[in-house]
Amino acid sequence: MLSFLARRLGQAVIVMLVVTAVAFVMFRFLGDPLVAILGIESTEAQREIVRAELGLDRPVAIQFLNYLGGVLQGDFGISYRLGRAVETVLVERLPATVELAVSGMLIAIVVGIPAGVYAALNRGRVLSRILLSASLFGISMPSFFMGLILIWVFAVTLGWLPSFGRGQVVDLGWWTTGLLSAGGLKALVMPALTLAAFQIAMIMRLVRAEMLEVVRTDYIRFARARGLSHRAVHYRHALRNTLIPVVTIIGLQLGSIIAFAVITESVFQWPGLGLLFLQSVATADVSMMSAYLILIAALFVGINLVVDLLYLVIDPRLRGRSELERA
Amino acid sequence: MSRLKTSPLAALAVAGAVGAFAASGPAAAKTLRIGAQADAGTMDPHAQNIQTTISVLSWMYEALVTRDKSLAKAPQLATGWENLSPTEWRFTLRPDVKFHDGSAFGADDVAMSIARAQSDTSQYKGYVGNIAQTRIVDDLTIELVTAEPDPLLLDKLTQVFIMDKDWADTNNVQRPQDLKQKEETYSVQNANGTGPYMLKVREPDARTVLTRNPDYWGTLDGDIDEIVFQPISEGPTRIAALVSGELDLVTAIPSQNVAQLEASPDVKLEVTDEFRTLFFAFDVGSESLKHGDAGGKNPFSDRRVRQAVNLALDSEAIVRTVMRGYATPTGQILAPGNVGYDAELDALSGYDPEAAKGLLAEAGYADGFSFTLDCPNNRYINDEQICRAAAAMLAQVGLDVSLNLMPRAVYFGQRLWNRDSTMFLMGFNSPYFDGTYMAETMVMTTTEGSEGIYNYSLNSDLELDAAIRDARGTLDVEGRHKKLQAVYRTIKGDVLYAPLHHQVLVYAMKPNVGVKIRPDNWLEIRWVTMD
Repeated sequence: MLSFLARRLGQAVIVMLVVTAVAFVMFRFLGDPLVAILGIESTEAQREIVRAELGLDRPVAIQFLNYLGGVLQGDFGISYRLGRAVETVLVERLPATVELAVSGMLIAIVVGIPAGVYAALNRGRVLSRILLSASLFGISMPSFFMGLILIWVFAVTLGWLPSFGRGQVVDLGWWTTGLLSAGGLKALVMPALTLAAFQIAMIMRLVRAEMLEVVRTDYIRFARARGLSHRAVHYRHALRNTLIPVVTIIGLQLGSIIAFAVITESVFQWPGLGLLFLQSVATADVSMMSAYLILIAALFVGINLVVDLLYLVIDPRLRGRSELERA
Repeated sequence: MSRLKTSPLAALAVAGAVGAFAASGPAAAKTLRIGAQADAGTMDPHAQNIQTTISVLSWMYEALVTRDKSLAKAPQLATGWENLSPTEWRFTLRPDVKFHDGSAFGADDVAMSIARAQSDTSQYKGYVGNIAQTRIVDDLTIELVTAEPDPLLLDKLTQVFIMDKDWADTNNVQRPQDLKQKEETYSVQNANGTGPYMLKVREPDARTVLTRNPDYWGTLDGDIDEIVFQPISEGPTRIAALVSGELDLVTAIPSQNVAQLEASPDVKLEVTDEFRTLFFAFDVGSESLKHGDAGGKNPFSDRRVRQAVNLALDSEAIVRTVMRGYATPTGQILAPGNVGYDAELDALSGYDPEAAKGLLAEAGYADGFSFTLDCPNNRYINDEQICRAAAAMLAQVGLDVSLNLMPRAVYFGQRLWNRDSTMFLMGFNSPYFDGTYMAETMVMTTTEGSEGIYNYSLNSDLELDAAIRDARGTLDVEGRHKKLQAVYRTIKGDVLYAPLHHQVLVYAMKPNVGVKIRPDNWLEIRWVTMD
């Protein structure tokens, strides 16, 4: 178990090193940071001075080592666009994105799992068919378009919800939250729904497929033969086994909606990480882009690590194998 | 989004109260909610030379000189000025002006602000680079000495905001942010000017809230108590927020959305010609094509080829389709309203693909040639679509164009700054309302100082250089106007560029909001009214 953990951690460190190197080098070829620092209308002489001042004229390898040294101490440099420390800005924006992603995922779970179970147990019924077609719609609808439709219906036509921003936000010192005020909750509805649409459809289809698979297995048949109620068979035995792969997927999807809520955040001007990334790209704010990429990589590496460990907990066979390895 | 520093429980109560307040509609205090495409990048007045940043800062900070509604130069923090000699200017400063923190405005603040704008990390160096010396005569008199006679000094000073010296010393912000020091400086998130509004809340990329300065020395057309400035990057969302009543004023409406807003009864549109002209420029100086193949030659050094490109581009069609009519086709690179503008030069070259083919054949390129057209995709209104249309039009006359679209950071950073582009899209505006700037920085041979700093065409015409230098040294406006007109006539005659159109600015607002748009897209808050 320990060696398994050590190996996984070692791999995680290597992945993070590679990502940091790629993030650093890649963004330096994607645009000149001096465009952000000095503006488009600057003179060559001015650029030379600032380039030397910031060490941008030194070999890339040296620049990278300096950068790596900083990153290890939690110093990601300064955002050229905002003139503020990168880590400060990231910490400021993180709550908005996390709240959005988690609310979106909660909606998806609350709607997606029951819908999937229903569609699996009631195959051929009209409602099941409607749910399935609706999910196709949810999967294929671009989130940009979905967001705009919601805005026109709920903000412009009905005037119920704000079309942009995060509404009233409460600062808890270490976290800003929109969940404690009516304005904040209202502002959360449309972005969370937009983000959830695809996830609902995916979870529902996944649950349905898994459930159909599980219902066909021998132990369910034996459970039925034992005379257990439909309810017990479906919910205690079938659903529980269905959920193992679903939980894994939800974990990974949560990572990806934190990382790729870019479009949704941009449509609703949601002041989170995705919007920050888009604006950084437009202005060649390389230090911000690199830090974002590293953060997202860390998120995925972390989630994978947790999922691996969870497997270890859930599946005794894996535990046995590592025990053998140790011996 | 606003922040309250408090315990979670109390926060709940307060948030509920505020929520209820917000829901109860506009209160007695007049709040103007402005939506824009991008946020002001910083609150530092000498760090970022970007129009949105300048506009927002101008609500808090003021300059020595400003513009009146006819766009003529008018006193602001200076009440008057005189030339002691062609290079010496004496400014009399406005008495009894206070900064937002209560300290008095005086000559030392002006001297410090000019020095501040001259530092290496400032993007405002171009405005004050010619000032060799500042002499404080007394508390309300200051003299500026320029290295050379500078007819545009006053125009340049309209862009240089004045910061309080004591405030700068106290907060250690005597120069714009030093990016080497990895800490953020105080002036990035805080402001202390003499202007009509004071900074209350600053949340980058979310909102900036300003309140009325009760001790403001000047007058405002309106009686707006509070301004909430919010960036909304997506055009459709910005417009939806206006239509749904969450915003009162939206700047820079994309041309494809104008028609939709025209149909909306609760929205009023204001349209003005912008001081920005879009045109294509060529590498006219290289021996052979840098990006392309024309048998080792550079066709664009031949006037006939440039003329052929002009004839092949249907600028009226581009305005009609790509710009939806919200632009004015033009035959020159200088926008109306600038000193040196000559309406006659606006005459279009006309669209004539047959004549274009003829000229290409005459120049020895009957079978055309291949080259890369470089374009930004996030710099000018509809830049990408303009270039797509242009590439198709050039293909019609037998040119083999490969289109290279890129974000502005790559476009400028890797292509233009390195003088590494064969044909490229430019949009140029003059911050001084004067054609001297464009002629000097873009047309002149790149030598030293500001001459030719944006001459990405590698253009070099010593006769033209001399004419521009002569115009630049002419202090008298009428004389300069005549000389510049001649300069731009030569530029048009040589077909150095392929002009497309003058951009148009469209602002949308609620019917109760009144705005007078400045052609340089500077939102002058003193002129905004709200009934």
